[in-house]
Parts: sequence; structure tokens; C-alpha cells
Amino acid sequence: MLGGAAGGFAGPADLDLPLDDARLREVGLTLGSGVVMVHDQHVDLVDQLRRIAAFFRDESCGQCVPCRVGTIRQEEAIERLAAGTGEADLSLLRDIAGAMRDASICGLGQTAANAIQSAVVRLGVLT
Amino acid sequence: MTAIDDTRPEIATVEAMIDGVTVRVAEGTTILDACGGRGCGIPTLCYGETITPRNACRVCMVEVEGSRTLVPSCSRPVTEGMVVTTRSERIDHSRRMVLEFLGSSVDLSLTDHVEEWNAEYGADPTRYGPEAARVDEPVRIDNDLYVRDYSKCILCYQCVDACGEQWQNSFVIDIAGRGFDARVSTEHDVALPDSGCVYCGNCIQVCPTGALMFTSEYDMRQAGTWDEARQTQVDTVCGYCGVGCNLRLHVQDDSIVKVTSPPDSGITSGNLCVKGRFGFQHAQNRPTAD
Repeated sequence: MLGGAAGGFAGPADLDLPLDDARLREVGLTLGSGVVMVHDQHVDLVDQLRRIAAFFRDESCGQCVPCRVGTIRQEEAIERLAAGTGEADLSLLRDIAGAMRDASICGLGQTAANAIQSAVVRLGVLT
Repeated sequence: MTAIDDTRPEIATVEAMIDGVTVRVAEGTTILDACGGRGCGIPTLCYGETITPRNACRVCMVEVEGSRTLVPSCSRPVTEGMVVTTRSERIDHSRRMVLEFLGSSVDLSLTDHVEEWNAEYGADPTRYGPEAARVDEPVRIDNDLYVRDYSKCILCYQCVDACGEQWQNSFVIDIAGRGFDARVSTEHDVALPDSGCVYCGNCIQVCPTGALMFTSEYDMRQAGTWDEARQTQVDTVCGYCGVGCNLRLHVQDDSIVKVTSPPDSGITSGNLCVKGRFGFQHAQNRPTAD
């Protein structure tokens, strides 16, 4: 995982990717804070996503609607998906991510769905 | 002898393209105002008639070429060469989600236009399920003049700004708490009579959702007798002092049921003091039978 909670997950296919800002941006990742977090196959990624979602819900200041409500709706959808719901909640999660990214006031809300969406898209977590 | 220069200073203008149409507006004009302001088709919630908005609701978002994110049209000034789109799949998605986020967390039943916008943008606040977290607050009734129902509050900041630096300068309320737990609150959440509230009611005037409501209206709604179709509005001038504030009396069945002030009044800009806002009972004391 690159760039901390607001960054994104790189998958096994990305192991040779140079840690370079421009190169990472090309493939939809970010260097962010510079953190590289390595997860092996024993890590419970669903639990990681729950923790990231809870983190952003907790960190939202509450000023704008997309982040204030989006972060809690994101967390709720992840909890449901972790319990085994399907496609409808995945598409809900995508919808929430789009609005938070496009309409939040600050960078926190705009990036609050990054890690979660990258885990869904690149690693197939929650699917 | 110097000739008198009677040419007026030129108003600086900027030219931009909005939805494919070239417009020229005065510098500083917001995108929303360049589009025609309230009612131009762009939905607004935290944008009031008399308050400079905090662009907190994010329902008026539009696309500006070159901007990574959408921008709030209520606050973003038009700049030279700006290319704006006010309707697209991306914009509609954000508006739909904001309407769903609010509709699934607070009671918007008294908020104007929400139903038509939900239909227009395909918003379905029920799709978050019955377990979705809601702002669940008891109605605060702690004085005789107005009630506060924060389960209807969208945190538009208008009451905070009306009470604070934009109008009243009383600074009695502000946002307390963070994230989903953020609420409008008095200092230490004390009851209004224990706060510095001067009961000007200017917060009620700007509240777009009915979260702040005159007790007279609240009681009639509870009793099922509030009926705006039967109400008439009478504009008059307050007789208490020499300022001459404009009052708008809302009258139902020959009784004043609430007092507002026309937002476009050059004297009040919609604001009043406690006497003009609440001191109307003397006008309708009726002699008793004996």
C-alpha cells in the first residue's frame, strides 16, 4: 500500500513499478506521504479496509456533506459487504467514492475512498 | 482651471463560456449569479438570499475546465476565459449523491424543492437501508419563542453566520463536534435562555429546512392547523422605533402566526430585532366576552 490511508493498494502485478511520482500517477497510484506498507497473504485486507473507512469517518470535520455523510455511508457499505452482501453495495461504494472525490471541500474527503476503491479494483477485495 | 472629470470608473468585467454561451459579467460575480442566481436551474441548499454562503452543502457543483474537482457555483467567481459546464453525467452524479446523503440522514420534509430535485437527479435516499445512521435529535423546546429541531439540520451554516459576523454579531451559536456528530450548538450546549441569545430570530429567517421554527408555527403544525394555503402575507412597517424596519406578517384566520422581513428590504435585509420579530401579540388582543 502506497501513500498511507489516502493512498492506494498496489497489487502483485505492480511489484516492478518504480517508486516515482509521475510513473505512479500514470497507473492511478500516488506516492502520497511516502509510506510503503507491505501486506503479505496472511493479512486480512477486509479488516484493513474497515479500519481505513473508520479512520476517515472519524477524521471528517463535518463541514461539507459529501465527506460528512459519505465517509459514514462508505463505512456502512463496507460493513455490509464484509458480512457478505453483493453487487448492489459495491456499486453503492463506487457511487459514494465518486461524489466524495469530486465534491468534497478538502483533500481529506477527496481521497477518503482512494485506498478502498484501489483494493476493490486492483485486488478484488470485497468482491 | 481643471476640467471636471465626470466619467464614471469603468466596472471591470470578465468574459467566460458557460454551457457554450459566451457571457460577460462584472469581476467577482459568482458562477451561480452569472447563470441567473437562485432558481436558474442549479440546485442550492446552503445558499441563502441574505448570507454569503460557506459552500458546505455541495449541491450546486459545476464543472470548470482544468479543475481536478467540481467547483461550488455559489461561491466561485467567474474568471477571464473560464469554461463552465453546469450539467453533465459527472455533475448530476454529485448532485444526486448529495441529495441522497442528506435525505438519508436528516428530515428534509420542510425543505423547498427537494422532491423535484430528487426526481430530476434520480436520488433515492432509501437505498442506504433502514440501518443507515441518521441525525436523531430530540426537538429542543427551551423558550417560548422558537424551537430547534436538529434532526432537520443540514449544517448549512446560515444560522451561525446570521447570528455571528454576517448580521447580528451575537455569536451565540456555532458548530460543535466533528464529522457526522457535528451539530449547531450554543456554548456548552446550554439552553437558549442561559445563552447570549437576543431572540432576534434572524437565524430562523435564514434556516432553509425548518430546523429552526417559530413556536407559533411549531405548535400549529403539531396541532395540524398550520395551513399555508390559507395564509396571507401583509407587508408593513414596524412601529416600535424610528428605524422603520419592514415587517411581513403571515396571517391565518385573522391572526398573525409569524413575522418575517422581506429579504430584499433595503432597511433590514430580512433581519429584525426581538420586538419586530416577536412583539406582535398586542396587535391582536381581542376583548373577551365579558
